[in-house]
Amino acid sequence: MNENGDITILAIGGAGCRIMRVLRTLPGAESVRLLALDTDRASLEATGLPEDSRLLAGEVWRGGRGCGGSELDGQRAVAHERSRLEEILRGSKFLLVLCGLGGGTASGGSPIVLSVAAKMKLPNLFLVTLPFMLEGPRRRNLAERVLSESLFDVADAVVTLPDDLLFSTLPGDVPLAAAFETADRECAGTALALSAVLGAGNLLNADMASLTALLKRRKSMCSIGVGIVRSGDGCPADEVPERLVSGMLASPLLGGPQVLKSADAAVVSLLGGGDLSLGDVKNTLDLVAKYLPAGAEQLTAASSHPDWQGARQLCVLTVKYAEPAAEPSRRVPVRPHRETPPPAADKGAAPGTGEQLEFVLDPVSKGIMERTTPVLWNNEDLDEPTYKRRNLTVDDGRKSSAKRH
Amino acid sequence: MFNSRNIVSAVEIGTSKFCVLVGEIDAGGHLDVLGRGEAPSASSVVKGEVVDMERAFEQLSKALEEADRASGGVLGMSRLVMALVTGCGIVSQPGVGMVLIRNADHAVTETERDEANENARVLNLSAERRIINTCNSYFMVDGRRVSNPLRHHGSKLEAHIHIVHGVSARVENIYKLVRDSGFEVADIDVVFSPIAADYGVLSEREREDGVLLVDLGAGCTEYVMEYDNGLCASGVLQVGMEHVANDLSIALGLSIDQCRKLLVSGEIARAGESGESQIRLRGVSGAERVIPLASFDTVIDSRLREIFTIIRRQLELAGAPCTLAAGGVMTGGGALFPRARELFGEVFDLSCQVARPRDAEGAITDLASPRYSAAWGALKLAADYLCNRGGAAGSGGFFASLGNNANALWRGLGKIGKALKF
Repeated sequence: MNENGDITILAIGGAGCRIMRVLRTLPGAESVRLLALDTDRASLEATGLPEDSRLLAGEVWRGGRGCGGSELDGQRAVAHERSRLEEILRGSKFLLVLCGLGGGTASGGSPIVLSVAAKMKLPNLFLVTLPFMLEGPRRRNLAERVLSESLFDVADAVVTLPDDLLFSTLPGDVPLAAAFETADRECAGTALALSAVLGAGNLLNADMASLTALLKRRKSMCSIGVGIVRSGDGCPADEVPERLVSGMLASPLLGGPQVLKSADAAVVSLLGGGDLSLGDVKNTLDLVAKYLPAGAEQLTAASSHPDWQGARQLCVLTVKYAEPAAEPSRRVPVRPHRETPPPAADKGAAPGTGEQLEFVLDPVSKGIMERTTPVLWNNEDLDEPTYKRRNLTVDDGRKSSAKRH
Repeated sequence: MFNSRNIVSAVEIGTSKFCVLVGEIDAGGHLDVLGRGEAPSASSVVKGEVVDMERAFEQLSKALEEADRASGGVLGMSRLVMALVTGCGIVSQPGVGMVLIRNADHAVTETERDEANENARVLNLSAERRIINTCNSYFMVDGRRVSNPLRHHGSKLEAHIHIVHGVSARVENIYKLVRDSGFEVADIDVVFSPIAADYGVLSEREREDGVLLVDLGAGCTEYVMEYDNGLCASGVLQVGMEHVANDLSIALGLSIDQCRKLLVSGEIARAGESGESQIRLRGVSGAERVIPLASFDTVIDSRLREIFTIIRRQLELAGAPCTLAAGGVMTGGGALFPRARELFGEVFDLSCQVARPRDAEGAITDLASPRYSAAWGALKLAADYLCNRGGAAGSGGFFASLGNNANALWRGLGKIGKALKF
């Protein structure tokens, strides 16, 4: 039975279903209600969810064949299922939506799901992944448009995870399927951790209002680190906190310890079994706190579940607001290159090699435009590089050159 | 000495270069380009606007000297100098003027047309702003849209015009710069850069069918939309190829000059075409690096796509028509960058052609680059205006629709002047 106060995790589209397939197998997943929505029958069936938890959108119209990346078809197909969506979401107290933007079903369907949730006054959080750049500019463009026009400012909270962050840890010769698998695993762990953050009746819990207040205060960029220690890892009890933190720091979707150090806020969630002690929680949270800046706001949650007996999961969601709190004059002209490499991945680390390209969210340099009158459009300073404002990762070749030497 | 030659000049004070063109109108009304002078702006112009008047003066003087030499010393005989203007807080907006047709047979005459145009130009501008150009969009006779209202029967005529206005002080900088550079005697006037480019590269047919022209320059990106032989939208975004170079410089740790060269030389495009996935370069530290081509694509695409998307949004806000039979046209130095053309097509969902100066003839034969579109258009405008002023053979509909408020000499020119909506 759902222990987390009727929290529903709804996966939309192909990427959402892939994440759901992983999520379903994680310990503690049965404590939340899992649903999947897609226009592709095969993708839905592959989630392994029971039939009454799967919703095939536009079945009559699309015939379960997907919508071929067409946002419009995805929108129409999901719009046909409004009443069924309302029906299956009835009784839920909180909706967490998982989707990968850039395709048809998720890009077209997520705004429809959001409108249904809004109609039902259902608090919602969207955990969305942005496509890899290698998937082409069309998908990226579509994802950004849906995000800015349909989700931001409309959803209660949106957590955006660019898949490109994976490039900071995965070597270039990793097969595409493996890269997607890693992204899916990270997102699944994050979804579960977020549901634990919001879950009622556990050890330390943060409510939705706090999380929403954190994420809606200003436009923000997020990154997520997940560290797991499993019962079979043979890790001594006193080393568990260190192992969790080092795993979290090496997590591919975090972007390195520097991201944590420059965060404006962080949501820290610790999952464990019945053996989760106060000392465990304190030691782990103290370690995490060392990486956070002094003024960073922190939302903490700790949950226990029998399935996590002897195991722990630490999840840290960092929030960096788009505009720095300081005056523009504080901006540094050029960001210095970081020389020290990030710590290597540990045994308990989440997948990845631990070597990371920098993904630093420090004040944005404007280069030769620094001392010119800013060009503003929709409250954005167009003199700042677009790729930075869009949170795109760029490989400047420094790492690979250093390796060769 | 009495000046009997019809010499005209065009001056472009751009972010990357200063360009001066000198032309002469022959007895048959044809414009021949006699000389061209160029000088780098040397950081005196940023985002299309002068930031260092003294250095700008020095650089303009160099360009003028070169143009004078190339034209055989006739620059000083210029009777009209057309200077391009951009940035300057320029805003475009529609204006509507209405008159009742009271004459006996209720047919529209030039009197009603000019009165309607005059009424349309009445605009409540703040003291620090001035009208730079006005252009005809279309007319309505009793609510029916017509491109030329003359001889139409009706009781009410509306003139819909396109008004371009900017900050007076910033426009005055351009006047001052040109005047101080040795054109004290010649008439000096300004034209909004994309309007000049429009005049220099588009055909009447394209204007009639509907066309979007985007001039992607170093400091600014300007645009005009023509529909049914009328200008329906124009504007400037002070973001251009310099921003692309700057983004590359920041993202990849390369020097800004290196990035400018990469964009101009076409090295990135060539690497992509030859199937290479990376470019070998030396960074600012001198160390050699192998940079993935995808990194260039990410930075360049995100910036160019943003530029075009903002322009598309501005056009939507201006209520511009979305069906343009003649498609899209790109000009300016940025049009030579292949990826820019591809993204233009993707964002505007229009075909994209590179426009070059049309009918540029004379001693200077290497004007066929999109980099000279606006300067050539300005020279052509100056020539056609001079022809009309002198009663010689000259311009067609476009020029007749361009009005200007800047120069007193353009006022009170009798028949032609009235047609220009002063």
